[in-house]
Amino acid sequence: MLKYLTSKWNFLAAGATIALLVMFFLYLLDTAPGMDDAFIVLSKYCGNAMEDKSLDPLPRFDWQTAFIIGIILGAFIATAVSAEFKLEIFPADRQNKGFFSSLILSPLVLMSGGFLVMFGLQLAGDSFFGVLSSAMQLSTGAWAFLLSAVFTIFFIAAVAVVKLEKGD
Amino acid sequence: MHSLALTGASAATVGILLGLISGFVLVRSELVWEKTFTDFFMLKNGKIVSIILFSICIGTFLFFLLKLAGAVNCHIKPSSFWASVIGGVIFGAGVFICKQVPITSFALFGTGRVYALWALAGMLLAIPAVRFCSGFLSDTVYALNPPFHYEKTIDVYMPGVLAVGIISFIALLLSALFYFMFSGVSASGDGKKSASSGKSSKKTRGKKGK
Repeated sequence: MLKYLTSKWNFLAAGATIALLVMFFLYLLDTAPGMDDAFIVLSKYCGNAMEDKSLDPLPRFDWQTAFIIGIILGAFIATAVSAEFKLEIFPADRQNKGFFSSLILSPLVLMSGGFLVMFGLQLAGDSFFGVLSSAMQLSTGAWAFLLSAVFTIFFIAAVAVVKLEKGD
Repeated sequence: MHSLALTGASAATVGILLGLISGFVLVRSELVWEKTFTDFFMLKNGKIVSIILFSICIGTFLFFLLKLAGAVNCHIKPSSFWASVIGGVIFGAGVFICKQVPITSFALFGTGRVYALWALAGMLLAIPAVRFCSGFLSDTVYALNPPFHYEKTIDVYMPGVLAVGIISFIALLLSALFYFMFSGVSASGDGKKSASSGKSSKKTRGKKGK
């Protein structure tokens, strides 16, 4: 049992657990899983704090905020039990690559990527976990979203692979 | 049998518990690591898509049974066809750039990779940006007509059981296909490559030997 908790899971175990999690959400909370509302609240909180230059009272602690805290704790426990926990300020591929790459380029790349990820999700009106849940409920929009996302990734990946093979 | 529809402190407790399991699963299934995403983009490891598709396969079937029993209700957020498609394209480009989605960003932060905060900051900035562009989006993306008679769920086009069967079967087939087509190397937290299965490691060793 302990070995199972510390080893890597195959796609069958991981996929089945995620499906069960979504069903628990729907049964216990009678709502779609996700954290888009928590993101909106957090974004407003940060915006207000920057405008007023002071910290407002913390936003209401609802199930979505609790879910985010749970994810962070769960990931910490998972890495702690398998001795994978490591404090890293910069991504592994950007470490020791100089001031510009580590301190300027890396945050910019991550921020722009994160911006696009959330922009796309907000445009579709859901969070990623919510899209997954909607796809399980046979939502046409969720399938359109997932298919277009996968095709885009494959298109960019194919271009990148061809460029790498050509040695550009 | 009805859904419990918990609220207040009990809902927050359930949220923490489900979050704990989610974070744990994301790390154990290697979905948090950038290496898993990079390997997928380089068509070396299809584990991400396999997990997503297999969860949809099981979830579709479970949801159908639970809905028949009256234990769950349908919760789909309304979206227009073109908003979903364009949103998917922008999302895909973003994932390619930062190799994270919101849920994995939080999990990555939990594993001690503090740089996930940069991606989270970008995500937080996107919310006021969408609000700022809402007028423009309403006139353009949301105003576009779908290319076909667009319904909210797929089971409107065919009987429910058939839709569930087809979606589950296709998801299972694609999930297996992605896993076995691209099962070469898998990622570990420190970015080192490791063999995902005994067979593949033997194959790799064999190729190296030759």
